Amino acid sequence: MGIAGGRRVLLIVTLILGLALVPLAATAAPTVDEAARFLGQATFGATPDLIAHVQQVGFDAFISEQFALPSPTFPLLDNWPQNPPSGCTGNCQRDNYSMYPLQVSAFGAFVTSPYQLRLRVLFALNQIFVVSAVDGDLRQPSRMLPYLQVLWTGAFGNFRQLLNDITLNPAMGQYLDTVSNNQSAPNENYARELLQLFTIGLNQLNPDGTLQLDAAGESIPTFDQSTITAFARVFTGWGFAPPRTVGIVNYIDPLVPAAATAHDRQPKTLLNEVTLPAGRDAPTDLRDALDNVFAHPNVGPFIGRRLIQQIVTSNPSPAYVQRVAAVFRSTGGDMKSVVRAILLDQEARAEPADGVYGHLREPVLWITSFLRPFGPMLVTDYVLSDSFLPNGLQMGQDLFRSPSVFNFYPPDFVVAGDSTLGPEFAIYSTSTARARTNFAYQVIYKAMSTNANRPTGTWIDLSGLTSMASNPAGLADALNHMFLYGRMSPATRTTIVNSVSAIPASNALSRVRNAIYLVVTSPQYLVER
Amino acid sequence: MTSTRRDFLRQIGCGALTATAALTGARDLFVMNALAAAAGPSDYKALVCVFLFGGNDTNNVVVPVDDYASYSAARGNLAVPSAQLLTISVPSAGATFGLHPNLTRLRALWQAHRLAVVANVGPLVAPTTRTQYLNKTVPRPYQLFSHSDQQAAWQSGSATGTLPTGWGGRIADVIQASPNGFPTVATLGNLTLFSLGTKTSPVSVPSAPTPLPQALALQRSGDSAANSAFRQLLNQGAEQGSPLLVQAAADVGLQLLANGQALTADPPIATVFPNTTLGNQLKQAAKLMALRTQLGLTRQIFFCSLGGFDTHVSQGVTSGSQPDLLTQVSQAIGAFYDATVELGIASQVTTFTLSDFSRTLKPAGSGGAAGSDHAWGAHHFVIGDAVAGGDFYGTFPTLALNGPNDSDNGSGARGRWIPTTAADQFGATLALWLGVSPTDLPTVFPNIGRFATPNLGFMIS
Repeated sequence: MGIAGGRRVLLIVTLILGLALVPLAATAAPTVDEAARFLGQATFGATPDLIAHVQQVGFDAFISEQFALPSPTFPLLDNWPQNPPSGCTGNCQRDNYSMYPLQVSAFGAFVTSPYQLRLRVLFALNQIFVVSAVDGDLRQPSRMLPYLQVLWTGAFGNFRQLLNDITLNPAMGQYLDTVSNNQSAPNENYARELLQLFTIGLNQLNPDGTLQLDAAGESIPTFDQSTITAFARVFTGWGFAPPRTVGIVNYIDPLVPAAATAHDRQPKTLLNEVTLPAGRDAPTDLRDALDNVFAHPNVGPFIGRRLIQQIVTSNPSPAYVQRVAAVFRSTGGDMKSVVRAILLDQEARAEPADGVYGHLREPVLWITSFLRPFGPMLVTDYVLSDSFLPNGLQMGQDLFRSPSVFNFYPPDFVVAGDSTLGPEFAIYSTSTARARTNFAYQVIYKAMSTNANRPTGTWIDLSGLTSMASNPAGLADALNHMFLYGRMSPATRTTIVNSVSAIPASNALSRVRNAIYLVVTSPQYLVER
Repeated sequence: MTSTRRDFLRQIGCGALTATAALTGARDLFVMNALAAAAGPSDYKALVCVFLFGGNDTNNVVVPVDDYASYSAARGNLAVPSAQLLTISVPSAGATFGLHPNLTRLRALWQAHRLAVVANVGPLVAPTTRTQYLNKTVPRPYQLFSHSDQQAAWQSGSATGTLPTGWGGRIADVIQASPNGFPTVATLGNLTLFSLGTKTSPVSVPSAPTPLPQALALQRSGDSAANSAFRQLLNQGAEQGSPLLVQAAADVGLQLLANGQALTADPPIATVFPNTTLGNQLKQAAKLMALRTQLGLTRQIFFCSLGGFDTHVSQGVTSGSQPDLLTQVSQAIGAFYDATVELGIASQVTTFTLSDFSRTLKPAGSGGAAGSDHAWGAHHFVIGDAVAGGDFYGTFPTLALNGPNDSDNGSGARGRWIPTTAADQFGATLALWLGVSPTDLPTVFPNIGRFATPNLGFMIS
């Protein structure tokens, strides 16, 4: 670490120590804990710098700043052939035919990029509109990047436009089989998942996201098989755009209409008995079909609820969903307005009202929020996704490689033994709990193995924080504010202070390591509230 | 079970007490009974679920050789050439069928009467004819043709979409076969509805080749002071006053510590398993079975799975997506059966397949890009020495579009079979074999009373 890095460490020490010492000002400005909590939702984890900044400008202005950041040109790569050319092995294969470079870049961005809110929304959208490189045709980063570009634009764009853009993105077209959908024998893949997973869901919803019930008390399906068949016919007649390079499939430009004969020109009855007339081409049918879907009253509460679950809490109140859905509808699906409504809602900002509030930090968010506060003390190659982590540290969320279009975990997973939802708990088992705990150990104790794909491993150089070791209570308090938003229970504080104090003061590094290890593996930290 | 009550009591360590019971009368005998009940069964049995995620197209898994023409006419590009089918003779049907050419190990198990096929089975709310289905005079399963909901129907043991637990977990709830606390249900991979009980929670173990002593081991285990603090924090999180989600997270951590402590040995398995996703899961399951005595388990239930069966396009016929997966299934299950023979428990272990649903008989797409869409009733395998193998159970559907078994109607019908046997019956037959009492069966399969019999007869004992 250079001299500049060393100065930064001192700054961090001051900030972390300072957090515990500065009395809370009796003004409207957010407290340290309120700012940290907000950043846990709006970013990939609070940092001392951002806490101070949010305290200074407030929540609303922080969101506006994030919206106002100029969007850089999104990086794309030239498409590669379907199979590695001869000689493309080793690093060539890793970098062009595996998710390695995208996983590394994404973790790098999640941990360090200034575009925190946009990326956080992108990450949420990526888990609602899933395209997975588990599909062997999508293992090329050059094919996945244009899809991430669509989500990057859509995160702060318009939902109706986003629907169009994901539908015609080549990776999605490949993943859910629009590219091979021909009127002679349509496939139902995109038709079904567009409705079931991306827009309206399976059942008619009230404006607050609760189920509408019929006279018999049963839920009311939004569609049946005939609707799926009709939408399958809508999405016929599309193909890849002409190659940019001869012989290499174009995954950069949106899909284009294929031969006119490939599109089904018969009438199609869609949602709410809307019928598309006969004789129209693929783009016209697609436009009107997406309008038909977008007009369905479910979209606001359905998408609003899913975004809230990704960003704030697994069990939002119906009123919260309704407020966000109302903004969705009144703004015509303006994502910035929706995101602002989610983050500034009283249910996101007020202290948790009950025990089912919040959500289990999923592996990606747990890793980034654990690492980000350490900023310049962090040594990492950003190889932090399951595929390339050391054996035994796989946490069940291999970025961009969801097992299916149903994401890594279902939104309606019930926490064992209760009716409370805890989607992320579907990938929190004895096996992955062990992986998390050992990951924390390896990062804090500098024990991660390295290899050519993982040149430095990931660890935190805590030598700059050893001055905190002489004061176990102060150390616990600093960590409380940084990681637990000031909510560390007295019993937990006592346990940590005692455990740290049991280590000889002469072994300052061990004390600091122990305290951090205990906090980031504690159930209080695993669940963000 | 053949053991006498005396054997049973001795095996659970109550031998010394029986004399006392004789002396002190009925009250103590009652206590003894309660103890015996709480201790669960004394012999050993295990169920192994192999879930094929995405919806396995069983139209190409079991093909009617005697009626090949109707099959191939509707299947078009997806038809498996008749010459390549692995023929099997089906006594109950009095007909010849063919297994997919890649299922060589499974066909050998059929010929050895170790494998049965349950034909056209799927989620049903109640027995349903085509007329009833089309006229909606019998309730339909909740959200047919949806991956997530049909997985849930199969795994929860209810087609009505209302259960937050699975039938594997509920069997563990009622059987009480884990006196030492190590879970009856083990999942090789993620938690799934199948494994969740009301009172029991599954252990999740990484696949082979991870040695069992490392499978749930924490790397900081040498630091006893820190470990003690780590455990205290989990205990504090699990306390009643703690937020419910924090409790749930703490419970997983505490289970990790408890279950990890129990896995102290890595029993050798000589059987060679294929180094595949499913092969490595089943190998780890075999090791956990070999460890059953040490774990104090008289019953075990495993959940293994393989994904990739959602073949809307480019499904492949004899090579490609689905055929490759079928090869993996056949080889892994074959090796696993061999391992149960090696362990001397082939008659005590029953393996079965499940999947979201089967797929449309009429393909989507054409040529090499042909695939198939979400459907309903499917054929499933049951494997083991306790299986009355070499035959079909249930009724093979008529492979006719818009025909007597098709839930699709009219000229666009694509062949989505209305099941003639309920998923509930399939599971109940296995649950009864494992030792669930008829009294407890409705706890495991709440709708079982709606069907003619809870026992399809494919288990010998």
